[in-house]
Amino acid sequence: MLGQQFFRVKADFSIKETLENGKSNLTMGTVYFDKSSKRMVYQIKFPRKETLLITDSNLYRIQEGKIIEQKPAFNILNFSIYNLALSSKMSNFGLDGNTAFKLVNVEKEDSLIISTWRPSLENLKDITGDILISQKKKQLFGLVFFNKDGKLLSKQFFEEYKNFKGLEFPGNITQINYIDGKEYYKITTFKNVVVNDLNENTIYNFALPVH
Amino acid sequence: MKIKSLILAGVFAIAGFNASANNSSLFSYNKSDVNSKLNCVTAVENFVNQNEGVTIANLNADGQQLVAAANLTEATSISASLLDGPVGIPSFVWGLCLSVTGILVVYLVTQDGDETKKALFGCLLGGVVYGVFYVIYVIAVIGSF
Repeated sequence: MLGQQFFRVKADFSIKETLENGKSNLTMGTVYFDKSSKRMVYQIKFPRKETLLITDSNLYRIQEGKIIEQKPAFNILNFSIYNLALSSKMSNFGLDGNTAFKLVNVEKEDSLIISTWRPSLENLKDITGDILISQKKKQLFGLVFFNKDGKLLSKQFFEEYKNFKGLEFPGNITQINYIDGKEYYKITTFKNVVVNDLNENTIYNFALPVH
Repeated sequence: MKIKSLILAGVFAIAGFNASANNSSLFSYNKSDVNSKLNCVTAVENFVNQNEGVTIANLNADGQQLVAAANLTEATSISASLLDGPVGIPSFVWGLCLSVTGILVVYLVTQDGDETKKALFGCLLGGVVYGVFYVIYVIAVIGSF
């Protein structure tokens, strides 16, 4: 039996985080991802109404029908959580078949399968260190990132998975960043996840405003 | 089934299966502590959910009080929350085959100007090497006709 093909996902999201300047941030809205049209659209409702369109090369920030900012955004789509989930590559976070990192260790501890990935390219070794991936019940559970000197940079935890028409998607992602001896937190939550939605084509295929 | 087991055993053997190592402690965190650090932001989130269409610009007095307590920025956190995505900095790490992305990794991971310059030079060098190979390839293709 062939597995179901997933091509779209939509979810209400909320991102809460503490920042290095002592402030906090809250961003809420709805995200739409279409694998075929290669578009990720964030319809943001808070702190202000705006749309973010991410294509395979750029990020556009749109307010009141006008592009107010454009930034290069290479490779965000391919390695976004949405694409990885739709492509069933999330459990190893897309590292399978990646030439930049090689698998150097696998261990089973308690309920976790932990794999260690090491940069395999020389210039990459000067930039980053090992990445540890843990799986629980065959689902991605945690990511741990080290810098080139083996210092802990960041941890991410993927929890509260739910099954949507066969697609396993986390409801909660907690990230802890370690910067200059301090911890900074980010919690991303997803609700009202809709898979393979055939409505709202205009948003999934969001067209840039023409001036 | 046997074949599957053999393949699995092979993968573990190649990867250096190590049951004695202890990395599981890395995969834990104090959930209530993290939640408590973001309590005030959660209060704003609840307020927004209860007041459809509210933005930071049209908050009532209650909302303004919550935003002040949370010390909330007015900006949408594009670079911090979306460019690095819900999955964070590592979104870029996977894309290191793209040299431009490599620069972003250096910037995001180290926040170090010198390191970023090194990556930029690496990128330029990579581009030159690629360009030379491409020219050789094109010449070879043309020469074959």
